[in-house]
Amino acid sequence: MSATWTDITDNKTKERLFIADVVNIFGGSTGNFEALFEFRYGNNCRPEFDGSKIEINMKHNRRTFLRGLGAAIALPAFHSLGQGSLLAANSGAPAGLARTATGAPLRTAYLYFPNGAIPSAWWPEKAGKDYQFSETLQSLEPVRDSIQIMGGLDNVSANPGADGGGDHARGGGTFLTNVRLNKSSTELRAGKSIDQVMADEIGHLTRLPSLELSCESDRRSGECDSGYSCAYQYNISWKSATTPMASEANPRLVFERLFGVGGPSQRQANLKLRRAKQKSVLDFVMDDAKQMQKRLQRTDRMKLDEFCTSVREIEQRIELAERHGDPQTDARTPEGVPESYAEHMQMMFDLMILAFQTDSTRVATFCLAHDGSNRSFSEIGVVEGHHELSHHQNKQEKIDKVKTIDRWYVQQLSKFLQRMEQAKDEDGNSLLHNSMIMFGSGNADGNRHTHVNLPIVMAGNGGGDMSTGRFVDYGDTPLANMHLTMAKRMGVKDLKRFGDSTGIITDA
Amino acid sequence: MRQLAISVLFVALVSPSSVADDRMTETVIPILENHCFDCHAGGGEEGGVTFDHLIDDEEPGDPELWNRVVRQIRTGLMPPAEGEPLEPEQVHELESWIIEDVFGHDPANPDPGRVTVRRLNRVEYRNTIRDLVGVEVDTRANFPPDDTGEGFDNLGDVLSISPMLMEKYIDTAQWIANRVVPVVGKHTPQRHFPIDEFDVPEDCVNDGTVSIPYYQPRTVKLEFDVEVTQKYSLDFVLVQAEEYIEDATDANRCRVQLFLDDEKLLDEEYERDPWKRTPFEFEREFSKGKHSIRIELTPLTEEEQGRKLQIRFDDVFLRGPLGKEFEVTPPDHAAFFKKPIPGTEEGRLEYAKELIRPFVKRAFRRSVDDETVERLCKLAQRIWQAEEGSFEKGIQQSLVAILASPRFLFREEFVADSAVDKNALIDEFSLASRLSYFLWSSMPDDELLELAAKNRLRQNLNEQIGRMTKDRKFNAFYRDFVGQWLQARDVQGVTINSFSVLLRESPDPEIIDKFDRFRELRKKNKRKLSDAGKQEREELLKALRPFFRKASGVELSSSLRKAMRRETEMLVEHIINENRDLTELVSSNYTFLNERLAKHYDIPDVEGDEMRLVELPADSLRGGLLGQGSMLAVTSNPDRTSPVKRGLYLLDNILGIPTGAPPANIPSLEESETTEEGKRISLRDALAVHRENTLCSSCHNRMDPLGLALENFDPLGRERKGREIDVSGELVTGETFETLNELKMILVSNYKDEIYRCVAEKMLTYALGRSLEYYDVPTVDQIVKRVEGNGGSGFEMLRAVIDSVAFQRMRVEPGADLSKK
Repeated sequence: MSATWTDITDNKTKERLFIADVVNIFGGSTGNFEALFEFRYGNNCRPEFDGSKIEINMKHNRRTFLRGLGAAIALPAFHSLGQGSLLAANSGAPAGLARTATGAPLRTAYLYFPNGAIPSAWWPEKAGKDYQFSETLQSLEPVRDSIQIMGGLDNVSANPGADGGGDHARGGGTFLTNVRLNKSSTELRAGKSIDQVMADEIGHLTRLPSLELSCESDRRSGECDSGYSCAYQYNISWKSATTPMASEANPRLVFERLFGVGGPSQRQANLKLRRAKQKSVLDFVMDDAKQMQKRLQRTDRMKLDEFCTSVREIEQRIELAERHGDPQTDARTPEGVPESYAEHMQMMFDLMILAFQTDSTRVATFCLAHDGSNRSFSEIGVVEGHHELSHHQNKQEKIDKVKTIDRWYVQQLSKFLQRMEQAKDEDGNSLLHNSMIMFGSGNADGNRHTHVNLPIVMAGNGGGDMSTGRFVDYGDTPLANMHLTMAKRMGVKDLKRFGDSTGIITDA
Repeated sequence: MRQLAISVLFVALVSPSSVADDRMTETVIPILENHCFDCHAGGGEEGGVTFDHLIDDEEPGDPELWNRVVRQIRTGLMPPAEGEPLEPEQVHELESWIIEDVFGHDPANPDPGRVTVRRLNRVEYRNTIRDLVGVEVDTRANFPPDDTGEGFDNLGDVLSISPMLMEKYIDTAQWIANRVVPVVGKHTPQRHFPIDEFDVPEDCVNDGTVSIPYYQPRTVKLEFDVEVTQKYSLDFVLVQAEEYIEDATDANRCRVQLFLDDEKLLDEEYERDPWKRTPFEFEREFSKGKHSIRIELTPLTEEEQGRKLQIRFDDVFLRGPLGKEFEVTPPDHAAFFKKPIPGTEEGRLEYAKELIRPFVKRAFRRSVDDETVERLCKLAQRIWQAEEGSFEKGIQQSLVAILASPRFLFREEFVADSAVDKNALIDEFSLASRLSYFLWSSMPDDELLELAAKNRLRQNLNEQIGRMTKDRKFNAFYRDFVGQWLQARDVQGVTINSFSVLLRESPDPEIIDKFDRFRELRKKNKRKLSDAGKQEREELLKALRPFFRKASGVELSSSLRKAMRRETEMLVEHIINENRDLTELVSSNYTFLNERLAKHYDIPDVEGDEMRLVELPADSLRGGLLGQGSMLAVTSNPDRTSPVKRGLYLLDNILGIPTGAPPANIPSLEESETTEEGKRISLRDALAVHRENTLCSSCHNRMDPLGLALENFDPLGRERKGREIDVSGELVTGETFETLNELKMILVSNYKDEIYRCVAEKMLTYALGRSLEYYDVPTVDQIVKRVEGNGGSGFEMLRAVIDSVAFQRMRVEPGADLSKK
């Protein structure tokens, strides 16, 4: 399937772009292409223009850059030169709402990985700035200065309490909600998740209030975890206590939602057409829903409420898109769901980067795999299921295999973070600099199903507000405190508490 | 829902007050005192169950508690073996008190319960669109997966709708309407060349397209006829395709030439440029007669073939003759708009009504008021009156509105006109939809809707069920209901690694060492390996190859998986269609096989792809679900069997015996194959050790003997022949067995009721789209009784579910007016 990344291993490899592509990428202007190229690839490349084509010689070895999808990185140049976000800034949003000190957009992403991690291989030995990377986190070395490893964050809402088994359902369902889940296979009751709290406050600044991604487009049949509905296990983002935010696993569909259907030159027109068509039916649909609601019994009305809320949200999105304008990208539309899990995941990460760069959204969640996932990783030599292995009975062989999987997930994160770091934001900082990205799992020790001292990596400098480059141990602090802290920084000022929070984390 | 339950209970508790209280204190409490209070009263609350409130509050309390009690005493699981057993009369005494007094069951007016309004799930949506407009929508690729509860994906309470899904509904509606309502009156004729019209070497076909690898010289040809000498356009898209191989690069280049007859249209060099699409259009005059296209690919390099680069030719079309005068009315336009489109506004509105009214009835699956039709016509009118609008576009948009309406996306139900009581009959349109979504996972067809419109569906119910179960669409019942209930669906995705299974089944240290070393070498970059390393790698591969081949021979290939799924579906199909006894789920002297599956099972003399009934010899371990590959594989881990999962599967899905959730923080038990002294002990012994622990034993005593009895089957569902395996065991209810077939006999004779009840509960849950509650216990009892009276007939089960009060009626909330819209 299609690839999005190319490793440049020596300076002989060149990327050739035809003049037409250049015109396309840079909106018709080739005058200042050197500067624009520097924008795209940083100062590691030296473009040469010979009249009909441009050759870029990469000066440095082993530098990866976005390709395919990544061509779109060119666009935010124009975005930063005065479209999208300036409009947003003029649209009456209070200063500081999801903005960094420089005025660039501030983004939040939550990335969820399943089944916890082997604690002994995860945690570095000594807290502070000069910590040594642990075995599992080793691959984060290239982004060391942009991350902090957070210890001591607990999510006691996922503890069994009187509810018995079901730690995977609870691990996933409470990670961003921090409330107790109603143990039922049909009566859903969780809580609004922190990303949706943020989206409510700042969603109007962008075309999409939030973006929900995953890599799973199928569900197993049969019962899920110990009497909990599967909804808990598969959804980390919740619009309300009863409505999970379904996630998108098909890269093509995510791309088309963001940028429109068709080739680069048709997409904007297609988006516009699509909105016009949507608008033409919304009134009828809403009237129907209202009439139906009057007829229905009480429990049904809740379902219709969900429906009406969704219709209204589409109305708002149309309005937002009209206000902010559509981004353009010459990136190729992804082909669908790739067979390789790694490729699939990196593609979804690419899409998140694109969404952030084009300021299409500032809040994203990405469930890499649902908690309890029993995926087998034969591509890295682990044929047993992840969940099965995570109950390792202290057998070294199994522990080693789980570690291999843990490392793999962290490597995927590292690739993503490196790309975030290479991508420039409108204020000249990296995208990573202007983001807050939490990578974590709702289980700490998968073997024992613990929910304290969760494995959490915070990446990004939050526009300069985050104390990165360190390993910090908060010792028995609710995870909700970190969520609350991030929400405040995103501009959710009136939020006093979230879930079981007891305060904010001042030095994060 | 809970509130509702409590209010019903409240009524039940208040009205027959004194009599009920007497029965509780005089009959019920003494029985419980003797048999249950040791563990479940006086502060004792084993398994979280306590009866203290009976004494303290003099009230039975939460009916859900009693729902659990009735289940436990009926299956004989409580009191436990070491306790004092209940006499049959005592069981009956308790049962009737629970059902009558605690549940407040009124045989004259039984509670049908309430189904939360159901959104179509993605399977139902796809089928409904197929039957409504004949368009296939790939909802699996385009919609997010539906959440599930109770093991099914059609429960109203769990099917939620998020903004993203709503957006998809609107966009998909547009996509469908674009296909259904033709808006183009005239167009240039065009002809598509599918892959099978090409003369193409075998290695140049991928994903159903011409895809030529960069690495060998290849020629692809296409010959076609042109009927009229005119100008045409030859169009195609050239795609630089490749496969994703992590961290691999591929610097190969190739030259591609394309000739039309003898003219060279294209001569380009290509290198890797992932999935770049370049469209081409060549306008030429084509003479009448034969023409040909020839594509020649020449490799230019011999670099490492890291990414399987290919040049792909997509969407190859010949458009023409070009020119307005050659345009044709597309057949679809004429088929949809049977009359010429009127010129006047009134004429158009009238024609719009004519087109919309029958469609909206079918889409909403019931008769529709004039006001709705008028609103739709107005919507269409706004569009045809707009700039660049047209009548066709207006109709198209009204179709979008219909398909995005909650009346299409949800199944709204009404009560019959005559109904006044709180447990009312549903109206016939609702009944038609309940029937069709239950049996077809799709909308009611015209016949059902017509009968419902005349209020004659109930009268003709038998006949209609007969017709519906003979329809091809009834396959959906097996795919969706059986697929989820018995998890037959999952066998198509379950990961079982045949290589690891083989190694584990017959461990060979030499192979293991070789494989480990091979894997080590494979991890290294091929280019960086020394010559000796390369040679070693080659030799290892050579030595391992026979083993790899063996593993791939028993691998669960997609055709094998499909056969396994079908085997399970066909067993249930056979039981229902042929009026067989449902206990054949557990034990039957036949199964369903094709050649591939028979080979996997080592059963001789089955030839061909077609699945058919095969009689089994008396001593065969197959027969019934317990010997089926689907069940054996989905309950296994990727490299080993899991007796616990297998046991749990049987309890959950066949016997309906409650296990309760595992306690929190207890890692799975079965893998402790080493004792403290480090000696390997068998799985069987390991499980026995754990059953000594009382915390674990209450459930594992139920699961493990069932699962261990299946240890003659490996994770791939093959029989473990030539090995002595102890599969004997004792059920928690005391019966002992030596072989799997003995266990089957015990289940079929002693657990008949449990099997019927379990099937009834699963089928009713699926049919209603809601979880079963305590007030459904009498309904299920009635179904079971009827099935028992009919020799356990599978078809009778289906009929009994449809006739049940829960299926035919609905509970109406006070004040709700559902009589008629």
